[in-house]
Amino acid sequence: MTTQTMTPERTAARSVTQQTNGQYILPRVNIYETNEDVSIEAELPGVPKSGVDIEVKDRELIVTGKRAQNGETGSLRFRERPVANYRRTFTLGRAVDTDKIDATMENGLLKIRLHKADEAKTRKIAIN
Amino acid sequence: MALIRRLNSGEVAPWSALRDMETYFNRFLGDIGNDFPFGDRTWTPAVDLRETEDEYIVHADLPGMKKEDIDIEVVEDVVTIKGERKQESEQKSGNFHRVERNYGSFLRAVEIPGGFAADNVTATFDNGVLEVKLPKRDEQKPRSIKVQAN
Repeated sequence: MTTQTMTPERTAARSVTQQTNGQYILPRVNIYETNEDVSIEAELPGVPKSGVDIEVKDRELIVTGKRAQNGETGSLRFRERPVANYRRTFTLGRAVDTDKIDATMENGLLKIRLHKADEAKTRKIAIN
Repeated sequence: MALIRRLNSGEVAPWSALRDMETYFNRFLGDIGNDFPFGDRTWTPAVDLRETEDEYIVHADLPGMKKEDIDIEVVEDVVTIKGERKQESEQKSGNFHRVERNYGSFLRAVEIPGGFAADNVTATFDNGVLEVKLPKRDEQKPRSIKVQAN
């Protein structure tokens, strides 16, 4: 019998880096993992809660954020903030239970919690 | 750092090589210093400056910040936005696979051409975007001069 440890190669979420396709840019993300779940934090400044779209298709998680069109007035002196909307795709490993995903959005930061399937959680075995 | 590291026993070659390559290229193309993401580093938020007839407007992207942690100062012609993004306690218990967000103190000073009326500066923070409105002083606003007939 072998014991299986959680190595980075067996993580639940591996991000897929994509080039921008001209229409979207990649938001900055943090991905971290605990024993129960994998969390993704995505920075989506300027995106209201209504502008966030999270889709799970096959084993892919697609996050889209559309900036609020607040009709910025006046002439532009200089611009550093991105104009485009945000999109990023993540590949979910087998450990993620795709029925148990929740998300919160506050101050332009989206937090997605992917719950792990029970068999993926490390369990301690007691020695009698 | 070697591009492809040597395998430890039991490791699957393609995955570890791919992951190392991705880490290597991300480190090369992305921010330097992601080795210590929560250390004492400073970062600068992206800022836009717009101008209307009556005011200057500064927008700064500060996602995940609370407005209590953002300081805005004005002196002479300069508006300074600063603060600190701290690591959240729940993150400490987990293992990180990717850290791209900036942590630590940030500071951004914007010089407003011609200045502004410092007493009437207002700011709002919505959806992670800070908006600072700096009204112009009267002499900065355009006024048309009528040509009079002699």
